[in-house]
Amino acid sequence: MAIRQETVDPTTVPSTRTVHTTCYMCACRCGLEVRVEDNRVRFIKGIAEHPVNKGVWCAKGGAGIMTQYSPARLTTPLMRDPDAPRGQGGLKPVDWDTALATLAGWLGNIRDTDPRRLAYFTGRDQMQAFNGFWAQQFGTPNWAAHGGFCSVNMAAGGMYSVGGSMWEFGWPDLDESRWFLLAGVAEDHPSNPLKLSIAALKDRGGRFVVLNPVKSGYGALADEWVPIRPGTDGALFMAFMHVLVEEGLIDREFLARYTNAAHLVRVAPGSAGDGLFARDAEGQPLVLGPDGRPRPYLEAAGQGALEGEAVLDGQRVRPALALLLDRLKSATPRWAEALTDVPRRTIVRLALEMADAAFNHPVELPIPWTDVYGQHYDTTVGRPVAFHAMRGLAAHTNGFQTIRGLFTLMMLLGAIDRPGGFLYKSPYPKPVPPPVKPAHGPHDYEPKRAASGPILGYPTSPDDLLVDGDRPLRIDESYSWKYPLAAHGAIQNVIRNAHDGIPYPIDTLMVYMANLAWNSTWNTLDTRAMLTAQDEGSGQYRIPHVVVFDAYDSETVQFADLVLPDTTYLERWDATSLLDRPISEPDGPADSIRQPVVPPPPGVAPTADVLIEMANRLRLPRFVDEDGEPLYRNYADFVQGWETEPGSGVGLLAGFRGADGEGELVGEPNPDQLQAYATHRAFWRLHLPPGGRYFRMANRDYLAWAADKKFIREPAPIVLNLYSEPLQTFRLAGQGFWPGQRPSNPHLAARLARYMDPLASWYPPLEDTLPGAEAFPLRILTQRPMTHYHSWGSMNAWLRQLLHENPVFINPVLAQSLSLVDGQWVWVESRLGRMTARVRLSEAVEPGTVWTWNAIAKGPGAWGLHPDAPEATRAVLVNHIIPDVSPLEGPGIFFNNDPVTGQAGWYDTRVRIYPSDVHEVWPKVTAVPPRRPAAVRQPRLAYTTHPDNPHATGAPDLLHHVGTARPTDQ
Amino acid sequence: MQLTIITDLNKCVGCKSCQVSCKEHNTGGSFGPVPDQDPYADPDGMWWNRIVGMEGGEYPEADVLYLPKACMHCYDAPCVPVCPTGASFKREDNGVVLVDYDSCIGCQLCMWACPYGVREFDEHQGVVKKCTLCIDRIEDETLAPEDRQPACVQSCPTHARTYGDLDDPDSEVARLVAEQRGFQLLPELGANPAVHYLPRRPVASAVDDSKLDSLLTGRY
Amino acid sequence: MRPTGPLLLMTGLQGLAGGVFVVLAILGFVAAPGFLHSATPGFLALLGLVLVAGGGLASTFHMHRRAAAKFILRRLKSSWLSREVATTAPFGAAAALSVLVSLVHPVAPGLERGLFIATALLGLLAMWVTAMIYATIPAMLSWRTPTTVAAMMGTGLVAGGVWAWALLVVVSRTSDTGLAIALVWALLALAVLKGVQGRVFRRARVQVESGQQMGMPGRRYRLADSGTSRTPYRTQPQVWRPLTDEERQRARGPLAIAAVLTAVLLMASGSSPVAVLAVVTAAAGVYYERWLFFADATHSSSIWLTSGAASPWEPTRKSVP
Ligand SMILES: Nc1nc2c(c(=O)[nH]1)N[C@H]1C(S)=C(S)[C@@H](COP(=O)(O)OP(=O)(O)OC[C@H]3O[C@@H](n4cnc5c(=O)[nH]c(N)nc54)[C@H](O)[C@@H]3O)O[C@H]1N2
Ligand SMILES: Nc1nc2c(c(=O)[nH]1)N[C@H]1C(S)=C(S)[C@@H](COP(=O)(O)OP(=O)(O)OC[C@H]3O[C@@H](n4cnc5c(=O)[nH]c(N)nc54)[C@H](O)[C@@H]3O)O[C@H]1N2
Ligand code: SF4
Ligand code: SF4
Ligand code: SF4
Ligand code: SF4
Ligand code: SF4
Ligand SMILES: [Mo]
Repeated sequence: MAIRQETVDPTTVPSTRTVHTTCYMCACRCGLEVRVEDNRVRFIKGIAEHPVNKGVWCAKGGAGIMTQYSPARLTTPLMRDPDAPRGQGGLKPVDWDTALATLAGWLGNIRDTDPRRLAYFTGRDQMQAFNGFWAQQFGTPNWAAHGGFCSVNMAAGGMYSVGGSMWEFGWPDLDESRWFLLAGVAEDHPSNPLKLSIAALKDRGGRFVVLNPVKSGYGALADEWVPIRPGTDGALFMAFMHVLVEEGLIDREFLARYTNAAHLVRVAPGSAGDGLFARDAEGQPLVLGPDGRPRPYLEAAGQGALEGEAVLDGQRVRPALALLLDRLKSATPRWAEALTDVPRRTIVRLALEMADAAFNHPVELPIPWTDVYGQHYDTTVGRPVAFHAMRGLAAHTNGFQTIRGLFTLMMLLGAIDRPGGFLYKSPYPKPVPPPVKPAHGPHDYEPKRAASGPILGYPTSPDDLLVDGDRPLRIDESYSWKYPLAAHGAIQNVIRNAHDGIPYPIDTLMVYMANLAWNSTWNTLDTRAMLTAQDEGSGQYRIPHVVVFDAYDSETVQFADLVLPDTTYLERWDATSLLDRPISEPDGPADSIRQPVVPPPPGVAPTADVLIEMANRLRLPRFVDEDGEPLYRNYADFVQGWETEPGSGVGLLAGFRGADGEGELVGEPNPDQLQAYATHRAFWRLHLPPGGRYFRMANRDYLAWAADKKFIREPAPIVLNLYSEPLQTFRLAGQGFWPGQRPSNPHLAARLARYMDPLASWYPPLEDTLPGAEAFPLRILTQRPMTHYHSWGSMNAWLRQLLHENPVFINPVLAQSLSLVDGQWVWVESRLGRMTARVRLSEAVEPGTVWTWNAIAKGPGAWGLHPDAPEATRAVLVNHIIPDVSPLEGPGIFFNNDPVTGQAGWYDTRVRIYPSDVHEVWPKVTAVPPRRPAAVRQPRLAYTTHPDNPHATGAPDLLHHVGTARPTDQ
Repeated sequence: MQLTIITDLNKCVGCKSCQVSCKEHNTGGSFGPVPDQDPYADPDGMWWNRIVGMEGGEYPEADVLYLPKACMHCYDAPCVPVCPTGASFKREDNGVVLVDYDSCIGCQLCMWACPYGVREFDEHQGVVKKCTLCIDRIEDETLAPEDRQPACVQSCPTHARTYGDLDDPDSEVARLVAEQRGFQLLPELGANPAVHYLPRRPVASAVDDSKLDSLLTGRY
Repeated sequence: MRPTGPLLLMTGLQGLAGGVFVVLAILGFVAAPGFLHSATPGFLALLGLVLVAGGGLASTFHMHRRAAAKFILRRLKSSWLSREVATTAPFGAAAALSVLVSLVHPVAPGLERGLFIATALLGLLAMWVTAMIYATIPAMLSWRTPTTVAAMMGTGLVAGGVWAWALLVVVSRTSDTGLAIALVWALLALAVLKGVQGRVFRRARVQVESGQQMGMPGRRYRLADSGTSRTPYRTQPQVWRPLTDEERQRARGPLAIAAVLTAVLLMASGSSPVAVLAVVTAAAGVYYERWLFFADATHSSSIWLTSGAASPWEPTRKSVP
């Protein structure tokens, strides 16, 4: 036997019922009320009281019914027939005992010899807290989730600026805002929450400006659309700041009180202290007091000078803001116009608009509060200008600095954690950056031991990097000189490095919830080849074992040696945790659970349960007691019983803690916690008292409470980083002045010196600087459609009808200059290679940009679809032509990543377009036979939950196994 | 009484939540199923509410607009008089236009007559189906009050849709139509649809042009 | 509008039957006195009966739920379809009676002649009502004109006339030249009518394709990408993919050829092979006329339903700014 999970015994639940749970059709995690009739899902709707979606639900959420019954579902473990080559089918059903024994064998071997040879990477994973803990106990440094190819630039850019970021970590306050700029967000990020917020803004008559080369989705509602040349937003933000400074429209009081704008920076080029803060004997940063004398920042209580200069200990020092103002001098609207294509007039006007909202129309709420300096305020005054941004800024190789620019702009406007501006979501703000560092010592990852610290975190100096000299310690080269602040790992680097054996070969690649052989990979054909590449001598696969945890028959499943079928989100226990990416709202922390809504088909098992079973078999330290006895039988057990540290009182779920279930945030584990959630509509939330809702970085009462609740370690003020001293330490290392670790390779050193800029800056995306870039004058972008979540919308009978083909949209002006007509087949060629597509004319795209939908194309035969399905024959995958590596000089390979964070530069790809004689999708990949041939030929699907309805046909009985015992149950 | 749904095009992002929630509710509802053809091959299917995406204007003044389109529950519903069997009818008490599948012969004449292309034919069952204004929700007294509204109104993430009685001048829908200059589609075809749309209402810049002019010549 | 077999058959056959009976009624007056005593009227009536019965039968195939057929007369007050049943059925009954009295149980010629006239009138009425179904739909932009009625009835009458003429040729081995000449003139008139109808169709098409604001007041819009390039919505037969110019020509060509050929055959001396050929060309003409009538018709809702590669968009912009 095997996994001892507890599932709902179908005979004990009424066949008709209403169950509350949390959606997983995208990462928003809305609260759902699911109506089940005759043990089939009848209706999915939003929970009215839920903090995330407040009763609404989106197209994906409602269509969850068809995901549940998709023929793409995997329903038994699969193992590659040893004689069949990897990647060409040959997957045979096996029983769970065999599957688990095999996996335990591989993992046991690795752990006993060299735990680094396990690379565990997860995609749109919603149990990162658990997965990270599991990997840490296993002892490998090679774990990360999807952030590297997603938006680590946004996350890190925010964390290194304000100790929070956008989406799960912070939010535009559109309930109070007058003016809102949405930059580089397509249509559905984040889905329901932003839609609700935009509706609130519209109801109040607020002005909505959209900055995007493409106008669609949210953009359709814009009062003004500002098309911009991709990759240049950083320059635009600098120009905005230039105008604000020139016009004297910045919030000096805010800067002095809450940011490090007044901190004195040593100006000593060519020395170890250059660019670091002047500090007193206690290490407190100094500012220039009103009397012109240096004083510790906190003592100066916001009176520090923002400009000027002084001499301290014989060294020149200047307030950080002064350095920024110097830099902004040259960032004129004229300069930005040439780079961005945004007219000068528009730049100046927008800067004035935001200042008008911020300073001429402050919101004043009747909420008294007290700041850390002891100053009491009778009201809370806000600056009603809000910003939200995401991958349009993040997914460029200058994204980190662009995001820094955006947060710097918000600091100048004084719009951080104030009504109408940017608000943190609990447990944020955290200190800048959050005080968690990756275990980085040479002996932190050794056989038969847990890693001695967390695997991911925020380095604050070169000494925190995972390097041995110039050599990276992680398979994805995160926290190396190449990608020093890779706070989310760099999943996109894994396959190539594992294939090349750089920095070392691995034994097993374990993939959970990522479609790494298709839509989340780049240079797709080569990457697929790397997955099947064999050593010439031994005939061994370069990546010896590939293990895939998936619930559906993705393109990546085809490349697995072992496939472990997961339950769907409607079939398992799960937690959305404050320790992960929280679902909190600005007015207080919140979390939620998933619970089994319908019984799973036999043969599947929740991935977390499988991982716990592995942990128990391998006796991973904090999964078993001293006698090696399992502490947790399954994930439900873990969710309720686990604590960050034994006795810490902090676990995955913050609500209903303690034996009595009354505890909140901190409290003993509660063995009935999940049940308590289940009876409270599957979520928990806490409203912060009004006086603790704003200015939280410096709100005395809030900070005391947050320390008590262990959001932060001590109730110290959180100083926003207009100037980033940690970045300067890396720059010093690049310049050769840092006293600790330094790279020896000159290219690595130069890279640090160039990009680790302590002040927001703009430089062109790396692709633009490569020789021959001009031959590819256009930029190709993708957007997420509102109806599809990455690759997993296309297996859904309803959603796929809404979108199953993706033309490349081009401006008619561009079409005319290239003599292209609507509907024509073209080649789209990047420096990596070319693909065919059909063009569609659209006035809603900037003429230098072409774009299409993300992840609509499918490998023929995958996802339970007919091999001739339009997704396989008429849809195109841009990933084929996105370059994965950059021909930069230096040791080894440089990925096409941001040089600060390792974020994949998806949207830097440059292309040219010309007519094609090939009138079909190219390149093609070999078709695989669909796993369920009968389902793909089904002529009619007429789903009802009343099987006696004579007109119901093709009802998905495929997976309707109520009452069947699961072979894996004990 | 004339029940209706008003969609505010100033708030509709075209997310298709209303399209899917309609199918979701109705496929298992009293008027279902709402079938699909070749669901896992080259698919097509029945939807009682479809979002139409459109573009207007020229770059950079391009306009992108989304239009949810379901039965308009017309006052002078042309689909009703043409129906030979009386299967298509308009309720006198609340103006909802419905199809009685038991009397429908599947001749599809009503589909030609409807100017809006919102009726859909179920070949298998041999009847015409369409939006019922969720009559089985709004009249089901066993449901909670918040569920006694159309599924598409309840799900809409921007609250762009409002449901109510257009004939009652005090109702929210009547007020919106009056105050925001609500309009009908293809009024020239004479169906006098009850469903109305509210137009875009752009918010202008707060910065005046003359100030900008002087700044631009002077400083930037 | 998606052309469907039963509708093509139903309207086509009913028209042919109408044409046959109109010829029969006219011959009852103008033909030689022996005509009513010969077997010829009986054959003509039989032909008409077979045609109208065939049409009726075809119509049941268009009915997708025959169980509800019993309700079909419920909306006589407003539904042209109810009225169609209410007029085509008596037409059929009269046709049957005509066969009875002229073939099985002869009656006085006066009575017989009266019956033929009544049947022809009922046939015309049925044809008119049928045409009115199409001509009274405001949403069918191509159809809502009196031309629809004229062209539809005209086609039936001419083609039915040709069939009647052919039957006479086969039965009597000589051609009724008067009838032939009348039919050629009618064909000519019909050609003009079809030309007018072609313009109406084109206007409807242009109205929709050029974007009549997508049904919205004010600004002009065009359909944006719909997520597929296949013509969507198999569930909405009132719209069909727009015909390509080529397809339209491909249907018009045979139609014109059929008309010309029919005219030529009518003028040729009557012999059985010629008559049979004329039957075929007339039938082909009816088929192509009807197919084009349905397939090329533009419904107002197609402004929202047909996009994708089927209808490429030409930007109005003429120069690069
Ligand atoms: N429905 C749906 N929702 C999703 C997802 C999904 O797959 N489907 N995925 C989720 C995930 S993982 C993520 S990461 C988020 C991402 O959500 P978004 O951040 O909205 O990501 P994209 O869809 O990639 O859209 C990027 C946008 O940036 C624009 N853009 C590209 N380059 C630039 C630029 O240089 N400047 C500016 N101003 N704009 C630019 C593009 O035109 C596009 O509109 O969405 C999440 N939500
Ligand atoms: N060209 C281009 N490529 C991109 C992007 C882009 O903008 N443009 N965006 C990038 C971004 S931001 C992201 S986040 C990635 C996303 O890329 P991925 O992380 O690869 O996301 P998905 O394609 O959704 O694949 C997730 C896998 O999870 C599986 N899955 C779904 N539900 C379950 C479940 O309940 N259990 C288990 N075990 N598996 C499940 C699905 O079947 C699927 O195989 O794509 C990246 N790729
Ligand atoms: S927004 Fe995401 S989580 Fe919310 S209902 Fe839609 S798919 Fe589910
Ligand atoms: S749900 Fe609302 S926002 Fe979405 S398409 Fe429908 S009306 Fe528009
Ligand atoms: S299809 Fe049904 S509802 Fe429509 S007109 Fe015919 S009988 Fe009436
Ligand atoms: S929209 Fe169409 S189906 Fe609905 S009432 Fe009007 S005419 Fe009838
Ligand atoms: S009212 Fe009901 S039936 Fe009509 S479109 Fe909305 S959800 Fe569909
Ligand atoms: Mo992502």
